[in-house]
Amino acid sequence: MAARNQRPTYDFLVGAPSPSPPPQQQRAHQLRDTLRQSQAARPAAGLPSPVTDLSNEDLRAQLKTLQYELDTLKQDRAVTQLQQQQDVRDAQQRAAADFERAQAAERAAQAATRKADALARELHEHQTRAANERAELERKARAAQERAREADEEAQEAREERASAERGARHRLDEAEARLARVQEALEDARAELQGRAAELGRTQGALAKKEEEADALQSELVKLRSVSGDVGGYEMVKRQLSDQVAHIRRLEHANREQAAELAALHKQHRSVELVEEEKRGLENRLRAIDGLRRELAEAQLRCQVLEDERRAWSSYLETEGARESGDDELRFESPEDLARAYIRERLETASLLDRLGAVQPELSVREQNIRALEDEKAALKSELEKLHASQGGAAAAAAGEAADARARARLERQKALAIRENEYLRAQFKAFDAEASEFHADSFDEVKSARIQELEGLIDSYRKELETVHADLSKAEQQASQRQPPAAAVSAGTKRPLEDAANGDATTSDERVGELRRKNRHLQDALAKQQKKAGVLEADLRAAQAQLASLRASSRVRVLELRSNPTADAEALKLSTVTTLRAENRALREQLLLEGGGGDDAAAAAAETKENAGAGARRKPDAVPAASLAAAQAEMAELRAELAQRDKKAQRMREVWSAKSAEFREAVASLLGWRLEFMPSGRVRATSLFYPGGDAAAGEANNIVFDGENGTMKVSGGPQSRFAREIADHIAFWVEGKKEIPCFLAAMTLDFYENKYEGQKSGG
Amino acid sequence: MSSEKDKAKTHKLSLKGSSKIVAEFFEYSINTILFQRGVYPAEDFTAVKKYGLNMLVSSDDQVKAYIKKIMSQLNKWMLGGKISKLVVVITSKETGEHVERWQFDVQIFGKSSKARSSKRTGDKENSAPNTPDAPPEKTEKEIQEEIQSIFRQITASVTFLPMLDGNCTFNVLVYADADSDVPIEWGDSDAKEIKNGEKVQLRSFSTSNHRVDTLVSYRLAD
Repeated sequence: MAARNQRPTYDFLVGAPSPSPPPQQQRAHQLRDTLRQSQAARPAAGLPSPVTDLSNEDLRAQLKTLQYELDTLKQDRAVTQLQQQQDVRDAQQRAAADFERAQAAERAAQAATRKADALARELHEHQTRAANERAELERKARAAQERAREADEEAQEAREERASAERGARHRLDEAEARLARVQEALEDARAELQGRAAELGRTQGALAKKEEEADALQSELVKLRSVSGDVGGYEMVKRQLSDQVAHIRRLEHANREQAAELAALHKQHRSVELVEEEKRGLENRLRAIDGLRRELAEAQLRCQVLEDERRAWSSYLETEGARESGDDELRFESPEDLARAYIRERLETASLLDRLGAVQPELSVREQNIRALEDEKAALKSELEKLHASQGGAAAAAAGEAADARARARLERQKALAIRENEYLRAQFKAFDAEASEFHADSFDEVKSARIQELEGLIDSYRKELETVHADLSKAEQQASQRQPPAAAVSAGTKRPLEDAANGDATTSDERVGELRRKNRHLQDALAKQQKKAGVLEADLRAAQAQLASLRASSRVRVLELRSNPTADAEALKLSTVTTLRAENRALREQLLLEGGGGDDAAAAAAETKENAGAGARRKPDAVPAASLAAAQAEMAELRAELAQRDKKAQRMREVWSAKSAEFREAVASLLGWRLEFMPSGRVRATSLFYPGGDAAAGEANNIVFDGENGTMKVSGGPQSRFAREIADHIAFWVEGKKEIPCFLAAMTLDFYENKYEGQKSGG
Repeated sequence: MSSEKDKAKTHKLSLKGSSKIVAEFFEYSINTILFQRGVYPAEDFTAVKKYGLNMLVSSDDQVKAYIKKIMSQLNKWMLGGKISKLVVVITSKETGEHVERWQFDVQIFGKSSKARSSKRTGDKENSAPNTPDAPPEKTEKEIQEEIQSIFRQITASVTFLPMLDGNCTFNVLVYADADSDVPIEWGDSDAKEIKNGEKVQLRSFSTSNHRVDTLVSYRLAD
């Protein structure tokens, strides 16, 4: 069978080349053929073979091929069968293996489930732990957030700092740019200058080239000349001329040397002359100074002379005074000051004397009036007397009248005597005053007054003389009368005399008493005047001393003290230092400005340009500010820093105040509502009841509720399974979940806790 | 002899206590003036209970240090009876003019018996009416009430005193006897009087040994 299988295959393959379509096509073709043959074969089957002999061959081949095909198919099938069996076996084996594996897997699964359970448990644990951890992490996260916020703030600050630094940097950059611009300008200037120089160089080079050309020309000329002077005669001549010239030059040189020597000598002389002149000028100056000095000296001498004269006058005066008044210590002067003092004393005395004079004058006038009255009286008496005399001739019966007359006369005489005595006394007094006044008050002695007084005195004297003559006449007349009528007169006189005497005696004694009293009075007045004078001097002294004393006392009795480093002084010092720094800066800037102006003047050529670019120039010049401005800026900075510190301080204080206030607020809330509140970041509030204080927070014993305002959530400490949570679960269910009222919830809990606490205590107690 | 000694001792003790009261009064009055007159910003002050009032005390370190320095020396002088006046002068920073002057005159009752006795023996009769006799003993409460009323008056005086422009500074002057010991930190000063100033006499208080009169003078607005 194998051979059959093999052969047709081989044949087919061998015979294939001629018709051979590709195997599939061929097979399809064959199939078609087979179908056709089968259709044809059915009728052909009944036909005798010889009839179909021709086509038989073909059919046989077909058959053969079909058979072969069939064989191959069978073979294929067998192969596939084998393969399938193989496959089945394989599959079985695989199944078995799978089974085993499945079993193993089952075991593994069981183990896995066990493990899974364990894992689940573990997972649970992990979950719980994770929950805790998460809480912790949340806390941490919050902390981290806080930190982040802080960091943010810091970053903000840093950003601000950076911004300020940036500003500073920009500022510096600007400055640098400005400087760069300036430098560039300078560079451009330099370049322009360079170009100018280059142009100049070109010009110079051109000139040089020209010169060179000239030189070439000259050289060529020289060559030409040399060629010309090739002839010997010319050469000789030239040589001679040359030697002549050389000799001439030598001579000249010699002369020059001589002259130079001379010049040097002259120079030396000139220098010495200059020196001398300088000296002369110096001397002249000195002379002038000396002249001035001499003039001054002369003046001074003159002044000195004057002073000396004055002094001599003073001293001589003082000496003479001293000599004259050597007995009187009071009037011996050692110095003009003494004299001045004495003068003051004298003035005071004079003033007092004037006063007294003033006091005396009315007295005097009164006396004068008295005198006048007396004179009048006297005149009246005289007239009466005359009348009497006249009537005497025919008055025999005038005895009684004469007696009366005699009485009256006696009275008058008494009065006269009194008046005369008084007058004399007054005159003596007055003379004494005059003497005093003339002695002490020579300058201002009133001439007129004295003249008038003398006049008056003269008048009185004349009156007195007249009176005496009248008296003499009268006595003569009396004598005549008494001769005529002696007895009556004698009787009357005799009767009258004792009385008169007694009266006279009384008068004289009273006069004496009065005089004594007057003298005493005068003495006392003198003493008073002296004392007043002394008092005046002393008062002047006292005033001077008081003035001195007051000034001394004001400075010595109380000291006004202050602490040296007081705020006012500090402020003043600050102001002063600011002023000084500013002043220094100002000065430095001004100097710089002046320097700049000078530089501008120097560059005369560039004046027009600077005028044009005044702004640019001004911008270019100050490439650096003076150090003083730096100091000023630093001072300003320090001030700003101080201000900053103050602001910080303020902020710090605000913070302190805020924290104090918030603590106060919390306290108030706690005491009013029974819940201690803690404000936590991100709007959360932790509430702890005063009646249910938490244990140790770290141990998870904190009995509090955390309200999250942002999320509207509420978290009971220790989780929903804690003791606290279980205790308040009812309230939560009723108030929070049912009525959504947190304040009522808290209040209910407060009541609840209060009852629990105190009942617990009661039961415990 | 012994009784005299005891008396001297008690006198000394009461002088000490009285000096302390007066010095304390000065300290608080300086602070109050600084606050009321706005020499320093209001947030620089913290409230303290004293004399039954809320007194404001500066919490600025520099000012505190300055006042403390003054007070330590003032206590010594007060004990020695050397002080006759304490003056707080408020000066404008801009112009350097003295704009306000708070003067506290101190009279010491016991002084005639000690330091001035030698000087005054001659004219004791004349001086007797001038030196006030020691008042009857006061309780601490009475003294405190007097001080309290002074502080109320200082606070109330803000209503009539001219506004200060804020940029002011202050200085404390002490009128001490010429023979007192002066530390090196202290120096002589002028009286810093206000020219043509308006003067207002405020209340006074007295302790067993001291009498303190208060006077404020200020520059009138132009």
